[in-house]
Amino acid sequence: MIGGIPLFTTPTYDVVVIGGGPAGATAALYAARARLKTVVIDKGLTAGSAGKARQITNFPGIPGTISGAELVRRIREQAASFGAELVNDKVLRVDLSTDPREVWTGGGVYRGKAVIIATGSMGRSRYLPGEEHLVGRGVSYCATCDAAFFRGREVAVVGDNDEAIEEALTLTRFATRVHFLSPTRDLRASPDLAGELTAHPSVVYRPATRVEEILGQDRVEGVRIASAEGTEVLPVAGVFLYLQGNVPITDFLEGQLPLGEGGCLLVDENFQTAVPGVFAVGDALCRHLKQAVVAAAEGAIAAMAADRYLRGRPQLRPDWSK
Amino acid sequence: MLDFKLTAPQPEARPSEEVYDLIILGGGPAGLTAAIYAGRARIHTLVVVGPLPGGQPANTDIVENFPGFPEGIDGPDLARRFVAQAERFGVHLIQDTVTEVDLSVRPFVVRTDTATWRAHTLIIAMGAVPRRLGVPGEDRFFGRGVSACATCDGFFYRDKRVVVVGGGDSAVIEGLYLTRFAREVILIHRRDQLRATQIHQERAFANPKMRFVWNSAVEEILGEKTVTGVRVRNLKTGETSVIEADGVFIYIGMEPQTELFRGQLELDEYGYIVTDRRQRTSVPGVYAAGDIQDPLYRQLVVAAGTGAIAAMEVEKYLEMYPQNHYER
Repeated sequence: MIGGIPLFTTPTYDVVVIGGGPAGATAALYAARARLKTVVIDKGLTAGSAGKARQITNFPGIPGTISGAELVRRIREQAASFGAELVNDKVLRVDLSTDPREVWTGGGVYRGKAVIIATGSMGRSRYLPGEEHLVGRGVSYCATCDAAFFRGREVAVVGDNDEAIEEALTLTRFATRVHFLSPTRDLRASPDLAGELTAHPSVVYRPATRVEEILGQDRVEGVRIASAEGTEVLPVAGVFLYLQGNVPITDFLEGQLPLGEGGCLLVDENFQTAVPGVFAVGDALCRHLKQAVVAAAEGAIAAMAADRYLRGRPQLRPDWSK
Repeated sequence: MLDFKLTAPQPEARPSEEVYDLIILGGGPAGLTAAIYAGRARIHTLVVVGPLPGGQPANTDIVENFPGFPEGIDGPDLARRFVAQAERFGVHLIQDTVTEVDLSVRPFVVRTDTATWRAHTLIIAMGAVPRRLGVPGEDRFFGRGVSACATCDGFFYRDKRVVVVGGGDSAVIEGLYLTRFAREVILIHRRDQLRATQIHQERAFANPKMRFVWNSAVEEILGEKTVTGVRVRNLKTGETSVIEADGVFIYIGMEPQTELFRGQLELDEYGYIVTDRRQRTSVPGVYAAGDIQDPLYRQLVVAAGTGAIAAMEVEKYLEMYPQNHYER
């Protein structure tokens, strides 16, 4: 954009997908295969949380491990093989009140009759020292995804909320010891969960503890912590971070869709938002599980629902006479 | 048809005396994805794989829309991968037929042809089968010219001629969908008018690619190596004729495999298991995933997604109950 004037305005697409992770790319695959004119706008293969994952072992149909970036690349290629256009750009803002709707990027304006938002969520705006270069190398944001890699090792969990505790309890089934590092003096969690955590024999609970640095060159080798008792280094192989949760990427919507707590997106059972023809899938949703296969399933459903919307059909419903 | 056995005997599976944390009923994309997640979470799990290991893809030539396979993948190969991946995570798989379940006792009881099994939680993923015409040629060509899913297979019929059998909303909607690909869509219906909603009927009649054959029943699906057409009988005159076609789409209903659960779980009016967004059924500790609870989407990736959700819910459920033991 130069001086607020877009460089180009596209012809109208049937579907503009914002975000090309497992959810967005699968939505594009389904939309394009249904012969809808489809474009996916994404910031790059490793921009999203799936793309950053070093290895994924629980995506069905892919035994063995695959890197997140490779999985995402394959789904995008599949979408492209059916005619979806892939654009590498950053979405700056949208206008959902126009017809067709407008999606503004650094390069220009993409117009679409339907929009599928699949922007995902990000960690915090500021990284801990060492965090950024060790992501996927021992630093993780998802125990369900990565706990199995830490069988027989020591790990640290950083956080103070329900999610952090649940994830720590999951980790106790794999790790020999789980250091629970709470930045606050008291847990901000339900009493039951807090009790279960502090009573667990393989959990070392350390309240009012700050992480100063995550240590290691190619792999996490430890974490330096500071508390009232001073500074020490814990020799952990993994660090699981749950600081301020994950932040859904919805700021570009500028209030055009109602948001839930923390800025997440609310949808109905067909993944449609409060604005008809605008759908949302994946980790930007209020209820999300950070699992590639679940996000992909949502993408497929949203694309099928968008198809119905574009053809002016009522909601999907079964008509089988039993 | 696919014909393969589970890769190895499963000597670890022990009936009766042992209580599993989880029994998964069904070995298709939903059940096996649940198994992958459960195995990876070290939940002590038994999978009762039904007659078709790997589920519906095992009966399909090519799957193009399962994400992660840019070139498409051979259906039986995808089915084999689901099975292999589940086995890799240490769950027990047995190939057996479920004959009875008792959801009124804890632990739950599952009887199969060969044994009785018990578990603290269940995931039901036994699928739904498209109702068949029951005519010669249908079985032979199912998955290779005969289909029950236009979303899955329509793309293979670009500029071809296809037949749709049925007269309800699905037959008409999917017939219209097929006009995006096929050069001609011939809808064959037993009566002289459609059962579908008015608006869909109007659209179908207005579509220049659609043709209708009334009062007629398909008697045979014809072809040597590939489908070449169908033989139909006019139910009023008794005359038979041949309609040439490259593909046949059958939309005469789905049958979710829920007879065993009638009276024990809440089913909807079509016989599907009612679940919430967390895949919970009306009985705590019992979850359902895949086509057995999905009358709408019927997609492999959607089934797999619900399987993953169900397994994660089982994990949370088991954590609430201290009597449950994880494998160490």
